[in-house]
Amino acid sequence: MNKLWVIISETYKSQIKSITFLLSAFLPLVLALLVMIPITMMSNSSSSSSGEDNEPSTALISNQTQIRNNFVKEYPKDMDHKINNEKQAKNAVKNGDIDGYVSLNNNGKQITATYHGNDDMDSDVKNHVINYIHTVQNKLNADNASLNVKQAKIMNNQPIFKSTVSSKSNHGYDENKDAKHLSITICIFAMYFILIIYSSITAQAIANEKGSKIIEVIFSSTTAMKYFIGKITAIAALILTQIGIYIISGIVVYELNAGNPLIKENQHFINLVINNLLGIPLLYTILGIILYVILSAVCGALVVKASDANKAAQPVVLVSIVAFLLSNAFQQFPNSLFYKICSYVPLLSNYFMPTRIINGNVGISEVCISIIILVVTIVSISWFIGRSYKGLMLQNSNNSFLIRLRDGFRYR
Amino acid sequence: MLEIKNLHKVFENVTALSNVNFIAQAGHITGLIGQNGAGKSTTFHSILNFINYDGDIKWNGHQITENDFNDIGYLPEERSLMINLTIEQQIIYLARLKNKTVAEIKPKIDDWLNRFEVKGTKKSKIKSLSKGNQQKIQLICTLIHEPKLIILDEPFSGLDPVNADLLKREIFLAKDNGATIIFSSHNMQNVQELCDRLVMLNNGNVVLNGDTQEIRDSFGKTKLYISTDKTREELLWLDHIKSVQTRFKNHYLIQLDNESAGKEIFEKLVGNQYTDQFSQEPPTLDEIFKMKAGEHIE
Repeated sequence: MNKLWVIISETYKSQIKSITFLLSAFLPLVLALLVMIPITMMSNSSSSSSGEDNEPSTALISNQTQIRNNFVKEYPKDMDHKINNEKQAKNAVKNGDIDGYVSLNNNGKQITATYHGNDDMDSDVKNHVINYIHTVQNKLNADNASLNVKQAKIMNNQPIFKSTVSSKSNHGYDENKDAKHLSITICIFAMYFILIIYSSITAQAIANEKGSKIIEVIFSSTTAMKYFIGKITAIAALILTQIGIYIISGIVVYELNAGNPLIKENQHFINLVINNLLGIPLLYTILGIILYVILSAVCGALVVKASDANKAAQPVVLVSIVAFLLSNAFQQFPNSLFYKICSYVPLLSNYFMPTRIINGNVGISEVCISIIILVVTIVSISWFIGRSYKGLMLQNSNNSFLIRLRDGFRYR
Repeated sequence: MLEIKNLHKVFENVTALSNVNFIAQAGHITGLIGQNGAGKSTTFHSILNFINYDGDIKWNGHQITENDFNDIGYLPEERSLMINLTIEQQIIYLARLKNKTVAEIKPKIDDWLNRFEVKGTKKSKIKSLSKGNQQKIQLICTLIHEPKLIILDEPFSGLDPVNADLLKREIFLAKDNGATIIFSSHNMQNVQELCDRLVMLNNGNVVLNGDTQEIRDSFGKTKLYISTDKTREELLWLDHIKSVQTRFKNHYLIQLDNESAGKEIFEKLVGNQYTDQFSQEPPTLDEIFKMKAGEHIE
């Protein structure tokens, strides 16, 4: 147990300080930050231009004080209260204090609103002004037509438009569907990239050890099985660290931007995506990567020269690309027989089953069976390779990959 | 004590070791010599359980298992260090794999670096060291946990004569502490100086096995180093002379056809006169090695 811990801690410590790990763990965060900053700025700028937080950029003047006061009372944040005559308004526009002003005139028959300004009127304020003069004009029409209260009320009746959508969301689109699609995309792409990175890290580290012959010294100190299990456990811990960094960074960014209108507006959508990604799909991601890492260790053990270390992971990367492309190609047909079969096959299930889980078209029993198959495969392959690891590492055959693999397993 | 009985190993159709038998005693240094491909590394790999084999290898009366790994110090023939680690990290990591704690090893590192006169500090990266210094670090990693069974495959590789002497000193120290030491080398001078016992392999077979001096003596003291005013041609006229080689002025190396001829030649060439050299010796290990490997010795 002590030696196993030494191997785990040493491998973990050496890998966590490696450039590859630091880049793979933190570069996506830096890129995400670089993308988020302008979005946040745009969002804040949009909220400021909508007049929610800052001083109003429009003034309202009128030949009838009552009409002006009623508007200001109804929409207190829309207009600059201090400006109440045309001279003040013109000066303010000239000085750049406001973008423009609205002049409301009532000649007893017609309400006229005229906007004067250096810039377009804010769309929200414009809508409020239009609604307001529409109401005032209706009242003026009713008065001029000498309608009684009942008739005026009847004239004010408006048509009603109702909308009923099946989604629980109160937005006008299928938020749930979009959240699923985004979740699947994130899950598969994240898995693919983490898997490629860790396959390379593992294969390269092991190939370097083989090339340097340090492995002979190590095998004179501990068993090959213990060493192999220690290596894989350390890499698994590294994967968990990276995923942990992403989750913690996500929580921190989310909390720091909790007040951001963009986040507030999409709160429900974000929650849906997070719920889709955490849990079983995350478990599949971790288990899938571990399985590929184990196979990468075999590839690393089969290199002939230390200089070939960077090419060691190629066979596993190739399998991963095929699985990735297949899962993408068949993503639109998650109920097809092919998709269902693939969601049970190790090396493929980690790509296929999360899609079915997120889409909600798989039962818990099927998920359990698939996970059990994956876990049993990982344990069996680890045991089998652990037993043959000494041979794989010590064989120095110079033949093709498959012959080297055969020789490694036969090495006695 | 390491006991090897009837060790036999076949790789596919090639017999690498055939019925190898020898014993390496505690407190003794055993040299394993032989040409490239003779089976030295295969013997070491068998002892370390890297490969399956037929026969018996017993360490203190039992098969070597994982429990014995902590008592073994093994130096492979090729460079075997993690070049991105510092000297200290490398030594501690390998010592921890021998069940030593950091607290046990860390205080010893400076002393070992001084003993081997390593150029660099314990914080130096392995990759920044010269080949010879890397070899010294490997040797420290092999010896620092005070193993009881020390297996050194070509330990003098990459070491100049001065550094080779440092290693010899450490090997003798380990011997004095009761370790069983077995090593291979192509440098017969080092083997001759160090080994109590010698095992020579040729094509997987043991062709020599025994006490180093006894083996040399068994070949007869047929080499005669003499100083005389006689010429080479005059010496060749003497009986029992196979060959005469001039070493430098008035100094010759004579190859006798039998050991007892030395006395007769002494009487003829020296008698009651003074001579600054008359030395009758057995062949060197180098010569025995070449002889046994089938090469011609002049």
